[in-house]
Amino acid sequence: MILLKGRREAMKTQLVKRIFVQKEKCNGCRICELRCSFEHEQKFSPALSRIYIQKVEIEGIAVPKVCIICGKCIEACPEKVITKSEKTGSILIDEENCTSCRECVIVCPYNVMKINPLTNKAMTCDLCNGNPQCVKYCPEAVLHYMTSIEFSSYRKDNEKKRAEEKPKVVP
Amino acid sequence: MIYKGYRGQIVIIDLSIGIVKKEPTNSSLVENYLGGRGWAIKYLFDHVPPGTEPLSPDNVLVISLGPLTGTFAPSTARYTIAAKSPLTGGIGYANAGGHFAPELAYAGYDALFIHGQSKVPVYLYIENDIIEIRNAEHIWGTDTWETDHLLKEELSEEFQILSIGQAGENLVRYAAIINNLSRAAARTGVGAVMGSKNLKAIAVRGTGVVEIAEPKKFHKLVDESLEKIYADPAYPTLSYYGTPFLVDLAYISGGLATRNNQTGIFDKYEELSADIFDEKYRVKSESCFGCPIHCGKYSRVETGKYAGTKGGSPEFETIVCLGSKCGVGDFAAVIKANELANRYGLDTISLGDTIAFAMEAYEKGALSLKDTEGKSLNWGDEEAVLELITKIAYRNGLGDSLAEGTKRLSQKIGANSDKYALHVKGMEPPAYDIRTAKAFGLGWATATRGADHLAALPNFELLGYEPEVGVEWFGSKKAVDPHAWEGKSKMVVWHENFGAIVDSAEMCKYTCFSAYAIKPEDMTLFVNYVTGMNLSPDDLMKIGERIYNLERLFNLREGIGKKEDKLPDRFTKEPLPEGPAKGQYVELDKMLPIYYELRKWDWKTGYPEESLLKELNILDSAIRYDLVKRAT
Repeated sequence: MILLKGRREAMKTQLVKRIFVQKEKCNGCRICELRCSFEHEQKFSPALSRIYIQKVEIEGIAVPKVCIICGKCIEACPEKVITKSEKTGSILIDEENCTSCRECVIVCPYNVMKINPLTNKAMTCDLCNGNPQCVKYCPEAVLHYMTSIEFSSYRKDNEKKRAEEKPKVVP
Repeated sequence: MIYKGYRGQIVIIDLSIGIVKKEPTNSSLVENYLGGRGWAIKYLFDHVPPGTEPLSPDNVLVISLGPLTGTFAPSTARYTIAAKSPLTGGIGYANAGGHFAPELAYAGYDALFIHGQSKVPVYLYIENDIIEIRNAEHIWGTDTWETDHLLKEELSEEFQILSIGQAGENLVRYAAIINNLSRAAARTGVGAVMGSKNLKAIAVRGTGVVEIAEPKKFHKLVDESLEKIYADPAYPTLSYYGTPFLVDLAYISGGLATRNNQTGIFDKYEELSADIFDEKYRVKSESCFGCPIHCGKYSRVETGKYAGTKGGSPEFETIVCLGSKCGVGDFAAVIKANELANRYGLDTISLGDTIAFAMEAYEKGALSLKDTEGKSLNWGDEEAVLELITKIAYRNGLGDSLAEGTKRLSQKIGANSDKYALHVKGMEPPAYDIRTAKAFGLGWATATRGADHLAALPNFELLGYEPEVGVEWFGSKKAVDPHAWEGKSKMVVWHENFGAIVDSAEMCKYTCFSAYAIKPEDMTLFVNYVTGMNLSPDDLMKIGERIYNLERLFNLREGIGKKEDKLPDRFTKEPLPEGPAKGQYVELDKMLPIYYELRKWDWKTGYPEESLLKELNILDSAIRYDLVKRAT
């Protein structure tokens, strides 16, 4: 109860940026997965990515799944090693003291808390310390690192703009 | 494995005896043939003896990745599938994107070499270290979409699956292999080879990593390349409309192949235009793995008799070959035809062309109602086209003859139909009418796999460059004029050699040849930063030339040589009858001798000169089969 109250207080006082998704624009290229894995490990592997694209190919559906900082993992962690980063507001995992018990993985509603196959510790989006690479390199501008208020006004403008500006058929 | 990027293991599978053998990837194979298409030709040259029946257990199906697979080098989700071609009898290979190749890389493999023939239908199960040959009797007979669904249900959604449909099972000579529902490794009939081996599918899941030699330099290089790709004036168009916008370009240039290339002007062009596609059918983009261009589109038909048809968009080639070439001016029907071709696993180019040829044969009386089971085959009859696609996939009735392809169908019906039987070396031609683009014309004639726009893909002549650029690149002001033949021989040689590298590094040709964003200098850096090799651009181009010449030797060994480097009379003797390119034909006789000289191939025999083979380090391969034009 005290924890919940704390969370509410935090939400009132700070307006933090997180990653927002315009899923209808996602083409399923998975550049975000590659960028994520490279940024964190200097290696390429979707299994090492903290973001992933869920697909239903037959219907042309692709939806990026990434941490929305709901905080359920913070509550679930029996070791209390999951907190929020003071700098970015992202989920912060104290890897050294993580026991790999998977409680956070089980409780995550979006399947974006995983066990890193190389370190065997919990991992999720850390917002690349305030410069999320998935957002930077998304070729369709599906991902946005914004506050909720910024995203809501961006989205309205963007939808209008997309309807008006179509490329020429003959370049 | 001393080089990074590569995963370090190849797999040799013999389906006849049910054996799977893993071996370390050979460094000298890397140094001399790079990957992908290069490895395919080296393996096939060494393991498929001359005279091998393409649909016998002795043929080998090669699936190979490149050094860049699985990295974020732009557009590198591609892989090569190769075998001796049942369509041409020469070297066969196809290349596809999607999400299969990187998955195989993350599972830890560089290539699969599949020998033999299973007694019962099987599929290959690959999950990281585990590789098993599993029974596939329960999925045999299903189409590629059903196979994808059934295998994912059986294994998990996380598997990437490639498979053949009914066309591959029934050994249609231009059957394709499909992954991600609409990505087709289609040309030269590789799907029939897979079918002949009783191999229905390959399901792969990989959770490993790809490591590279120089991460920091690589990161910077990719940033610079992305800037160039995004700066291409055609980028917004290609990424939004996908290849369908080329229908409009072909029409404007007067080269929208219509009614089996009888003309380049299609009266129902507007019905097939990019605007119609966008307004009525395009839903969104659907990208290959890690690609910034995302030219693939997902489309859906919402109304009319084809309502409910959906899937990866028909590409330019498909819209023309199953549309205007057959006289069909209904986009929804083309989307339906595309869906059927993807599900049955058919190459839409050879498929549309063979139907178009049959329609012209019917028009000219070479095929009668008796031959067509009483059904007329008139231009533009979309229902006849759709019905034929199913008949071809199952080899029913007339479909059985059409499943053999244009060349064999023409031989069967005779009646001077060879005059308009459009093929090179037995393979049917792509969409763009080469009478409006002469380098493409030469490229069709010289491509090792037959009528093929991708071996060279000399887009250079179409991009409206200033004449000085033509001089700088290919020694002629006229190189920038698509109607001129001057400078085109040099252009084609360069593109073929570099194209072999692009296919072996497994990058997409659009990235390299649509605005020349990646030139040999850039590709060299990509390969060096990923692998840790220290190649120069000249070294790389030499590898490309080696690959091209070894493919040439493979064909020569099968008796395919100079007399097959030709084009159908329609393109060399029948000028385009109307439109902006009226009067144009391909001056192959002017371009080919210069091409041979640049290639150092003997004009009389078509064999490479001994000095060239020595320089390329493939003289031994040639001597073994007596394929050398000795210096006199």
